[in-house]
Amino acid sequence: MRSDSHDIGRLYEQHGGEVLHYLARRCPEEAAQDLLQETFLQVVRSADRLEGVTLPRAWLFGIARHLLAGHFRRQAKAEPAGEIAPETMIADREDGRLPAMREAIAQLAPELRETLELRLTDDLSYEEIASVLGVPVGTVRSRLHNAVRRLRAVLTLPETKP
Amino acid sequence: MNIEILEALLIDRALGHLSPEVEVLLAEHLAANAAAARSAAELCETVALASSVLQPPAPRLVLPPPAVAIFPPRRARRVLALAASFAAGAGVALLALRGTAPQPAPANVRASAPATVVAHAPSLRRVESNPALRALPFWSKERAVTLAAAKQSNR
Repeated sequence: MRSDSHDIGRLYEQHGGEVLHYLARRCPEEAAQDLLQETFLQVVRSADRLEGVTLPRAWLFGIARHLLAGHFRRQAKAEPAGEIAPETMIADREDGRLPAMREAIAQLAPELRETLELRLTDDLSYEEIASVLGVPVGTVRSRLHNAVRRLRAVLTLPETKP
Repeated sequence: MNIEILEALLIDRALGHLSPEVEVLLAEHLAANAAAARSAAELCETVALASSVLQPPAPRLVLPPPAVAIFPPRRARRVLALAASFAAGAGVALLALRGTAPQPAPANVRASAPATVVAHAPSLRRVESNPALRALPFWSKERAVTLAAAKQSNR
């Protein structure tokens, strides 16, 4: 038990911040902190599986993602997973192409957008994303490639502004 | 190089997923091929823009400290000892009070029925008896609320 607690404590120190950021980008900070604790409660509950976990960060993100989905389900004003919250949008003044990019990202299929977010915002490897989403690595790669191709097409379109 | 394979490699490169060896080989190819280099730059730009849209301004999030940091072991032992002695004292006092005869009510005062308190302490015992949860080194708001609610309803 002591070694489990020690391992879980180390997991918390190493990845707690990343999981918190992942959650806080998708729900209010207070809910994110509760979900973070709930994530680690789940880890404690399944501490016997800890030894067999090869990608601990992906495992944690997977639990957090599952809890987040439950949180959204419980909320009456559920926000679809992967939706870009208005407060996370950055000012458009830096680059005139940002609005088009934002729109293009919003129009991506949810699974493409979520995969892209896990790569670009949460900095997970292809293998980790595959573990979080429960899909093969090849699927992750093809989703990412599809997403990038579509976004690139938006940027290379001729300017329509007068 | 096959154009589809090249594009796939360039996208992986833009996403930061190429192994160093492949990265070196690809860099050599790009140095000798202007069209491919232009395509690579476009893809990097696309990914950079997508990142700037997806990434919110870095929030100042503080990881809730583990309970051990709030309660260092030695201090925790002292607090627990204090709480235990208080609980023991309260228990003895309660037993002593129960042992004494009730005061007779004055004749002109009508006895009223005691207020009914419905106590729901649903998960306290379960939470407390689970050794894994008891050993949990993390602070949880949800857990704190459960404990507080259970304590309140026990009163």
